Amino acid sequence: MWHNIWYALLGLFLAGYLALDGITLGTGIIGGRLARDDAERRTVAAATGPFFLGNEVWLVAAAGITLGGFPGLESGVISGVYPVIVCAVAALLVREAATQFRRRGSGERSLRRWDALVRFACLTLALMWGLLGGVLIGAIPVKDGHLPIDAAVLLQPVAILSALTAVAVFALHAAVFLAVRTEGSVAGRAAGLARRLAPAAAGLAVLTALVAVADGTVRDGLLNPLPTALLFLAALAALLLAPRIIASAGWKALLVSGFAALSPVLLLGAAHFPQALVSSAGAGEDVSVAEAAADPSTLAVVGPVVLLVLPVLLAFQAMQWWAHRAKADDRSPAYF
Amino acid sequence: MDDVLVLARLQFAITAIAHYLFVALTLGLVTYLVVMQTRWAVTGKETHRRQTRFWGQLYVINYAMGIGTGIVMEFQFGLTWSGLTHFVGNVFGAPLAIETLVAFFAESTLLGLWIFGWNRMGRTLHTVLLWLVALTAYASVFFVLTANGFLNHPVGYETKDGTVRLTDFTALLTNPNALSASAHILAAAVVTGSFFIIAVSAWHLRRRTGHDEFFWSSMKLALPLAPVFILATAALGGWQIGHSVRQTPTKYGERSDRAQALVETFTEKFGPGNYFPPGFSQTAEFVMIIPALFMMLIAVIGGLFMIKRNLIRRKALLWLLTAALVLPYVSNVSGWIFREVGRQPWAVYGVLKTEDAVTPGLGFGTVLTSLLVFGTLVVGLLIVDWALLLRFARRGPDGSHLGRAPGEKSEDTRADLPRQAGDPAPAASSPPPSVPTF
Ligand code: HDD
Ligand code: HEM
Ligand code: HEM
Repeated sequence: MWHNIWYALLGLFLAGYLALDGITLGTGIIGGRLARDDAERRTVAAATGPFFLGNEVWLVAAAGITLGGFPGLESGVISGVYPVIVCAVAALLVREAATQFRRRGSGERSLRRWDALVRFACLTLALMWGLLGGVLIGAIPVKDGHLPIDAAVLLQPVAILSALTAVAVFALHAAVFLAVRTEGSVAGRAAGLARRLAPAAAGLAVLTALVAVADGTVRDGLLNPLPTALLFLAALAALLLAPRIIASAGWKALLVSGFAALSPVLLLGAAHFPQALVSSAGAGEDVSVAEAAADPSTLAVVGPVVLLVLPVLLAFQAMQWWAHRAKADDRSPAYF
Repeated sequence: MDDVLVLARLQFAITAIAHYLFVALTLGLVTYLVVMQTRWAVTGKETHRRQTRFWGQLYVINYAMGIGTGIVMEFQFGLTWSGLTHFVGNVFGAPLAIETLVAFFAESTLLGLWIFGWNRMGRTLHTVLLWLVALTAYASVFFVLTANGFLNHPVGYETKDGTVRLTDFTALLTNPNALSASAHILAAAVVTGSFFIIAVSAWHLRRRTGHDEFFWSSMKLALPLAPVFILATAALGGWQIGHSVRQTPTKYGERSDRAQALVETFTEKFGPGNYFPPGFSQTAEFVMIIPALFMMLIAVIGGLFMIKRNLIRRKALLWLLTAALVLPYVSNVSGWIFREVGRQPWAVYGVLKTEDAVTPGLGFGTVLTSLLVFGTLVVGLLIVDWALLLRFARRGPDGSHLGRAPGEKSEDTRADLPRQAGDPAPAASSPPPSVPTF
């Protein structure tokens, strides 16, 4: 029982990471296009700034849950996709430093240069997370709980398409966020961009899905086709819907695009459950959630601690959103 | 395989040391910030507010840069030490999981609220946030060291079917090895923070930058406390030695009977081999303690000269107080080398050898690449961090970006052309020429 609760927790933190840091990632990618002058750049920074640390830390927590609750995934998968993780962590570091530095430097030129670095890092991160999702959705060559590092696994068409989809979806999500959180010209441009991105993102998602279904090995990974397909359709609908309801629904539009951003986590869970990983070497090599999980004794002792503090943690996060619910403009506090 | 091990260890050592260089300062500064901001909350005096903003700016820079190195640490367990996670993940991962949730998650969220809460929140609420940030930071030390303490002195577990299971969570959390290390480390971090505040203040006082009152009051806070915390660090270090001599006797050389007896047990269980760490780990013990003596000396002399503000006129002494900033760092790094290299050849003392902890089948080229990538980035982060710290330390109390009210000018804009009224944070031009260089 406890391993399923832990699996849900892992899903919660990964989903939270994608939905929330997805905003920061997407803003890094499209922010430069939306802001035309310094005041607008400041508006964009003020819109995401207060959430930067709070968004990013969901990844730290997800990694912690993996480390404590799923040593089987930690030791098998993370080392198996070594290059992806190294790139992602490196991009994270670069984004961290560049975000810190952009306003601390001197002059317009320096700001521009750091912003270019932020954009590059965010783009890399979005691509890496998409690639990872694209690899893990199918059947992968895990054997004895280990995934051998293999460029052919990382560079298959589904993975590449999935990476591109991720960029489009995060960009869309961020556009919706900026349209809702800011006012004036930035908000208008963001809403327009969101509408233009929606068909591109949805198209890429459909293409990824089609290639996934056409590819036998990938198809083997979809143990529960029906729920997976339904979730996919829901995510697709969210992508198309979110930009249309910005004006009428306000923050609710962000929930809809947030659902699209976090849907890969649900898709992965739904496609494989009760397995965590599906092996292309035969069902006997599959890694189930229970097998990947830590020993029941650990989970049952640490689990209650985690569940107990969870409401407090979520309350802190909620406080952060409540404190910054007002629209941002170039006079809002923009530390970064 | 051997080379892979060397590279993986080098990668861990570099990133861990870099991480700790950030962390020691973060922990030290946040402690002082709590004092400063609480004074502000109680008295409402503007000087305390300025003090909190200036040192808080430096703290925030250092914190945010430190996060990156922490993330590298976290992912390394999966990347290069999967033998470790596979074998003892059931026990070792638990405190790390709690840490990320209970400590980091809360800490980062709260810190975000604190940074952006300036000028928008009530003074009391804002101060309470900082208290919570500090408490979660201390909690993170405790939980990280619970994990690290398990590696040094495994407790509360049993070995079954080729893996290790948790049998006693309480024993894990009350591991004397971890508790004594946490206490020693926290005291050492406050020493580090003290010397940072002393060094920056002494620099401004020596250069006569026009902020004498401001930096004198910071000096008055940190300098008298420094000897107290150095003594506490030493005492707690002594307590730690008491445990560690019994728990990991091989750290202390080949002569003791305890070490010899233990080596016999190891040889019985794991076959013959060298069960002593490389000699330089014991050298590191001295390299940790000797600077502590100098720190004590310098802090006491500096403290004596505080009478009637004598210190402000003693340029040489002020210079020394600035230069002394390297000392706590030397102690910190050596302390870790003593602890971690001294643990060799064990990843988990007496349970799992380091050579069995590394990810099986890891390629030489792969680790080399990640070592180069992470090594470069981490060193880059350190440089960027210290460049920023120097820049903002040099600007003085009026240059803080933290807590700047919309429309407020900071020192970095003084040389700018006239701006529209109400224009907030302008992109800074280079620091005005009147500001001396470090
Ligand atoms: C400002 C820093 C600082 C100062 C002044 C000292 N230390 Fe320290 N020491 C550390 C910073 C440090 C550290 C970096 O924080 C370590 C590394 C790991 C740890 O547990 O703390 C450490 C480790 C460490 C260990 C590790 C033993 C183990 O667990 O394997 C011992 C026995 C001592 N110290 C003892 C001392 C003594 C007797 C000191 C008296 C002068 C002293 N330290 C001063
Ligand atoms: C929970 C915390 C920690 C864990 C689990 C941990 C674990 C490890 C592991 C697995 C290694 C590599 C294998 C080995 O050489 O033993 C290592 C080595 C090392 N770690 Fe730690 N460590 C921790 C914290 C730190 C920190 C914060 C520092 C920073 C200063 C540090 C400094 C070192 C050093 C200097 C080595 C020696 C590398 C060598 O032997 O060449 N450790 N540690
Ligand atoms: C195995 C060892 C370690 C791992 C995996 C690790 C991981 C991390 C991570 C992921 C972060 C960023 C958290 C965030 O997003 O807020 C972080 C920050 C931090 N860590 Fe570590 N850490 C390790 C060792 C240590 C040690 C030994 C200490 C203290 C003695 C420590 C104290 C801190 C503190 C105070 C912070 C917050 C501020 C900063 O980075 O300057 N960590 N660590």
